[in-house]
Amino acid sequence: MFRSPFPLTAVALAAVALPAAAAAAPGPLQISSRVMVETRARAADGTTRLALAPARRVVPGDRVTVVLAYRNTGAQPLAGVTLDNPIPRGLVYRAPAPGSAAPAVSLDGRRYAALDQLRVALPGGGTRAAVPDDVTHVRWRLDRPLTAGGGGEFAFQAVLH
Amino acid sequence: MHDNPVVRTNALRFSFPLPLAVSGALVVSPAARAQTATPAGTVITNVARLNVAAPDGSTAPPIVSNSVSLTLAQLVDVAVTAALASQPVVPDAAVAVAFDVTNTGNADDDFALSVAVDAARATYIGISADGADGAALAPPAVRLRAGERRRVHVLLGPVAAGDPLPVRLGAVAQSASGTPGAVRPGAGPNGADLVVGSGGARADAVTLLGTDAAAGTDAATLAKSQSVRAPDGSTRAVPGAVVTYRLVARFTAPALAALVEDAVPPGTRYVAGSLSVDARAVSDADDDDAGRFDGTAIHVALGDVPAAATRTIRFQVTIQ
Repeated sequence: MFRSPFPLTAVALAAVALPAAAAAAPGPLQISSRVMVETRARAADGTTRLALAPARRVVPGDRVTVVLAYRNTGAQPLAGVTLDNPIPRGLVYRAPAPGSAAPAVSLDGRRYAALDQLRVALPGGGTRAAVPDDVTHVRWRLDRPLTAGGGGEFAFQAVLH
Repeated sequence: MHDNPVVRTNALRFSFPLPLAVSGALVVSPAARAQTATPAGTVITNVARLNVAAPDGSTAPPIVSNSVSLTLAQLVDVAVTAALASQPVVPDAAVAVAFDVTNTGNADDDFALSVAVDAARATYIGISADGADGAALAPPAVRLRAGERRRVHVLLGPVAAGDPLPVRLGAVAQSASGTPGAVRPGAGPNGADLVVGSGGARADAVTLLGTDAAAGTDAATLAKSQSVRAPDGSTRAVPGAVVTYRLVARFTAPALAALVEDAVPPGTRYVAGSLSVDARAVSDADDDDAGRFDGTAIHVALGDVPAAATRTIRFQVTIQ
């Protein structure tokens, strides 16, 4: 099972984020998303450490990490679970976050594949290799049933355009 | 009996420098076309979905996550570039020094402009946002859309001879400026915060004015030559012969908005579609390319030309 790659469990949701329960349908599966920014914190020993904090104030060019957390709160394992995240306007996909499994990506919300297997049709004919800027959706598929009480996180990096 | 037509050396006008507004046909630069940033105040909402296959193999409706909304803050910043790093000036003539001011933020803003120049060497007249012949802005400020670039001209009186004279144009965003990263909560559109960009929302650039007389007067030369091809294959200037004119403009110093105009001589007719610049055809129409024919003369806007550059213009006429 994929474990949280981030030391985020102690970090509160962004103030702008609604509680997960408010939007999620009742049921044994829960999903929440949060958008984090890299912050530089000066440690006592003088070193600078990168940490993720909820995004509050963003400007074009800022790099953010979108974190999806999921959990099976039921008593039965669940098979065939996928997590989708359409990339909202104003965000441009960059890469999987460090420590997260790479998502399958899509350029149209229908066909998903690894980025290096996708190509973009050119107006004058021919194609070119897809680049992160082309990505419109990301998706993770759990290849094993999600055990009762189990959960985890996936994350990707994006840039505000 | 009429006299044989004579090909006359036609009048030639070479203007340097000319206001950009007069040339009117410069191709938009890539920087000006660059995709602008998402506008300040835009709300970006992220929602994830979780799908699970039902035991019977069907797909249940997706489970939707909470939505996370980010309001894009207003980024305030500006860039200033000098059109030329150094510019020759002619003694006793007024000078217009071109700069480009770009709103590098993501919202409309006003930018106050200021000029620093040694008043003992040149009289500061004002700043024009309407070409080198335009009126001075009062107050000296421009309003720019997000991502917009505007050319402005610093207008000076004649420059006294001496060392190269620096002319500095500064621009300061009026919504905020100062420490990069400084925040004014809620000051942006839709209640978004306002953030001073990495440049401090102020910028400047310098052009050096050279009063070296040689540089001023010989900054560009134009050489004209012709070749004649008669219907019989000879080079005689007879009716029906086609004359190809070749104008070679050599720039020893950088030039702003250089314009070449050349009237078609009496007794000849312009060959439609024969105009070219550096062997590249340009249309006769008054459109987006550099050249046009107005019925009596060809006009070619060479734009800003760097030093040590050469431009070759060709066109043809038929002897009547």
